[in-house]
This record gives sequence, C-alpha cells and structure tokens, in this order.
Amino acid sequence: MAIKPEEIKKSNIILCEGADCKHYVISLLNAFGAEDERFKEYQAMNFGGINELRKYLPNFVNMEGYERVKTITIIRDAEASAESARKSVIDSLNEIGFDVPLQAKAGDFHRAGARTVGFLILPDIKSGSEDGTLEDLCLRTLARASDADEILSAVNPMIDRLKLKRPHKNRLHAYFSLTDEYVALKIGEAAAVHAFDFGCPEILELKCFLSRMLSAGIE
Amino acid sequence: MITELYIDNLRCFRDFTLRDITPVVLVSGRNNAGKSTLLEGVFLLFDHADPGVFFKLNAWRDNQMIGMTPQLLWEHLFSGMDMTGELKVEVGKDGKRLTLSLQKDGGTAVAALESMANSPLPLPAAVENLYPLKFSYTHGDYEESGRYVIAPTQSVGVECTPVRSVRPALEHMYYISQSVREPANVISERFGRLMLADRKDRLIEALRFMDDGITDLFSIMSGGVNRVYAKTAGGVKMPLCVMGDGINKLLTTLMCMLDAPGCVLLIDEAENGFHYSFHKKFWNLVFNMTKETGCQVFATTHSYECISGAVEAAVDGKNSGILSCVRLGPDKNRKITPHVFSGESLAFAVEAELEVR
Repeated sequence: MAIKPEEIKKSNIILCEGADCKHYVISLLNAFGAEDERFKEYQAMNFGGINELRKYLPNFVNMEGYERVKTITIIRDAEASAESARKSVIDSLNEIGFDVPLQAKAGDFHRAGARTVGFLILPDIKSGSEDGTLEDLCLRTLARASDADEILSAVNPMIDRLKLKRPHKNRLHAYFSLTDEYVALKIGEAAAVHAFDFGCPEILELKCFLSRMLSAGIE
Repeated sequence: MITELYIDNLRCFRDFTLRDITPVVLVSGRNNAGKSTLLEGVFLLFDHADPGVFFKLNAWRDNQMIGMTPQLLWEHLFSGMDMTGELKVEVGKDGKRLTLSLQKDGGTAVAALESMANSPLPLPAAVENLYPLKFSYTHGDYEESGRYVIAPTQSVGVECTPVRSVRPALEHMYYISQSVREPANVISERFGRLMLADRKDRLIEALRFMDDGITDLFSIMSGGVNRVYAKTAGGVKMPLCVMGDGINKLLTTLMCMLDAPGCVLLIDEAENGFHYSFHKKFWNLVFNMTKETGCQVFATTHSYECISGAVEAAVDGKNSGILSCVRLGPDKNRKITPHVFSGESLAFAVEAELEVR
C-alpha cells in the first residue's frame, strides 16, 4: 500500500504525543469547530513518544508548509513528573531556536519570531502541574459519569490489587470494555463517538487556551 | 568531494547556499522547485571548458525544437532570462573554491577559439555580434576568463585566457537520467577499461542484485557498433541496451563509479526505471560504491519509496552519516531555500511518515 506521509496543511498546528492523543484532539477540534469555525484552522499532528519530540521538531521545521505555520501547540503527558515534562518540552523547543524562557509554564504562550508557541501538560489543562496522562483526563471527563462511577467502583479494587504499571490506562480501558458502545475502542475512536464530555469545565479550559493561541497567531 | 554549493541568478536560484554537503545527497521538492537546475548548475561549473555544455544541458531537457535560438542556447539559464546580471555557481571542494560566472558580453572581436562544439540544430544566421557570453572561472589560485561565441560554422566556440597555462583537472562528472542514454561505444569503452582493471566480476555481482539471471557480461562488435551484452540464465546473450531501463540505469551508475573513482554522479529522478522493491538494494549498492570509490552522488527524486529505500539502506548499512536529503522550496519571499534533513533526521522523518518531498 502506498505511504501517505503527513503534511503540514494548516497554519495552526497541535503537536500531540502519540496517535491516541492526536485522534482525541481531532475529535475535540471537530466538536469545537462545529460551534466556532476558527477551530477548523487547527491541524493535529503526531510527534511520537515523549522522547521523540526533540527529534521530531527539527524535521517539522524543514517540512513544506512550515513557512505558513503561525502557531504551534504541544500537548504531552506529564507521566511521572509534570515538572520534568515541562522542562523537556522547553528544551526541545529551544534546541531548534524558539527561545522559550526556561521558567515558562504550561498554558502560557510565547512569541518566537513570527510564530507563537505554547504547550499543555496533561492531565491538568489549567496548570500542567499534575502527574499523570491523557487517560487520567479522559477518566475525569467521561460523558456518562454516573455509569462510569458504577463500573469503576467495581474494577478499581482489582486494578489497585494487581499493582499494574500503568493503572490509568487499565482503568480507562476497563471502563470501555464494560460498555457496549466503547468496548475495544482506542481513546481517539472513543472520543469520536462522544465517550467524553467536551463541554465540561476542564475541556473548556483547553478550548480557551486554543482560542487564545489562534488570536495570538493573528496578531 | 563537494562540501558547499552557492548559486546565484541561475533560473529559479537567487543567492542560494548549501553547506555541509554529504557524499550522497537526495534532492526533493515540488515541480519547478529547481531540483534538476541544481544538478545542471553543478554540471555547468565542472564542464564549462567544453562549449558543447550548453547543448548537453538542452538535450537533458529534451529541447529538440526546430532551430536553435539564443534563448535556447544560454539565455534560459539566467533568472528571468536576463543576461545582464551575473550568473554564478561556486563550490567548495577539497579545501578549495571553484567559481564560474557568466554574463552577457558586449564585445565583438574574437581571438583564437580554444575549442568548438557543433550545434545539433541550425544556429540562427543573424545573431547580434556573435552573441558572446563571457565567463570567468577560478579554481583555488587558478584563474581564467573567456567568452563563448556562436561561430559562423554552425558551432559554439570558446576563447579563453588563462592566468596559468594549466587548468587544474577536475573529477569526472556524469549525468544519469531516463531521457539520456549514452552511446553504445561509450558504454563499451568504459566496460573495456573495467575488464582491464579486473572489475568485471564486481560489476556482474552488483547487477545480479537486480537480475540474478545475469551470469556474464561481454562486449561484441556487431553492425559496426560495439555493444555490451549480458549472458542470462539459459545461455541467452542479449544486448543490454534492449533490456529494461532499470538495468541500464543501474549499469551506468555502477560503471561510472567503478571506472572513475572520485567522480560526481548527478542522477535525475533516481526512482525512474526501478520497481519499488529495488530502491533499498540500489541505494545499498550506491552507499557501498561511494565508500569504495570515493564518488559523490546528487540524486533528485519525487518518490517517497525512493527516499524510504535510501533511508533503510543507510540505516542497515550504518551509512546514515553519508546521506542527507535537501528539500528545495520557496520561502515567504519566493526565494528557493534548502531545507536539509541529515541522514539521522531523515530516518526519523520517514519512520514517522512525515512529508519530506
């Protein structure tokens, strides 16, 4: 099958950690775009794993279409340390000359020449200071919260007892597997079929941030 | 080895600089981004002493129009076809700088012509003042200057005034493209040299990567023309020129590298003639030959499969350090600029399926 490489098609780019995050963000943008056409000016791209951003960015800036890019938003997981994640993103941006202040915080944005760059560290959209991952954010923003509570209250003791390496992933996918609608779906696929409440306060924080980035890119 | 390239006022190139050039360079970019022009610029510098260089450049572009015009001869090389500005090509090579500059000349008197090249097409009978194009060339401390003129004998000649009597020799430079097939006798002569140098088996070994039915190669004079033949499985003897484009392109590439160590190969549309499954093998051969012979390769491509094949071969053979990819594209001021992917970056980009063409 012919490869269809990823191109830069729009001027506002969200670089996402992994395919799941990318497809989740695509669903978010589709939901936001239904109410506000400006969100259709965003494109989500996948930069790979947490350690691949510093290799990805030098290639990204060499791609056709980069000359038209006005805003770059990076979304990645905090994993075990939100502070390490913050520093890693800043280092990766500065290695290719974006000159982001070392004390820059998640949720802020910075002018870097002709472009505006910003980043979010999940799961905490507002401050980026909480350890965890996209799955934690997803668990907090499930659309059918009451059903989820019932299911999770049954599976959580088992997950806690097993002392799994990535319990947040296990919890979310355990929830999916105990529903008819979301069983066997990945995060991005579940997002596309409205597994998550995109109108909840936390997601609205994300919407505000992306809206501010768009405005900053126009100035 | 060419390590730097500067081009100004050559077609779409204005003030264009490329540094840290690797032994194997892929050149990508959209149509009309200047991929073939970059190769032509390098060739023009290396082959400027031959007044027939302009005919060669036209032949590569398949300019087979009836009747030659000044526009087709050398005006088209200049940006905006304006010959009043200076066209410049400069390379950094082995610690020295080589520079060629061309510009329209107003003079009319012609001194002794150093060499002539017959035009393949009738030249215009009435051309303003011999239509001279002046040039200057430097190679380290060596300098020369002169003019190309349209001579009355339906040819282009060059008159040259060297500062020193001996022009430093340059490596062979070869242009390989689907649209250009070398004459049979040239191929045969090259093959003969390889036989004398006991390199025939090396050549057969490499060709078998494409067609493992080839068991031998030899040269035969037939119909007054010397041609290279392949002996295939079952004992069939077939002139290589009637075998596929791919095998001929592979043969030319390998023969040039083996016959002229240290040469520069300019391959236009490297993917042409090759099935997608052969790209990795081709580049593996190129990398090995490059290291073995010290040759340098500039190859344009539109093909992601070709780039992927080069990357796979580079990674497998631990040759990422000698590979790079230069994507040509206009910046916001429409100036063609290079976007360079190192071998390592290119490997990441291909694995991430990013568009690098």
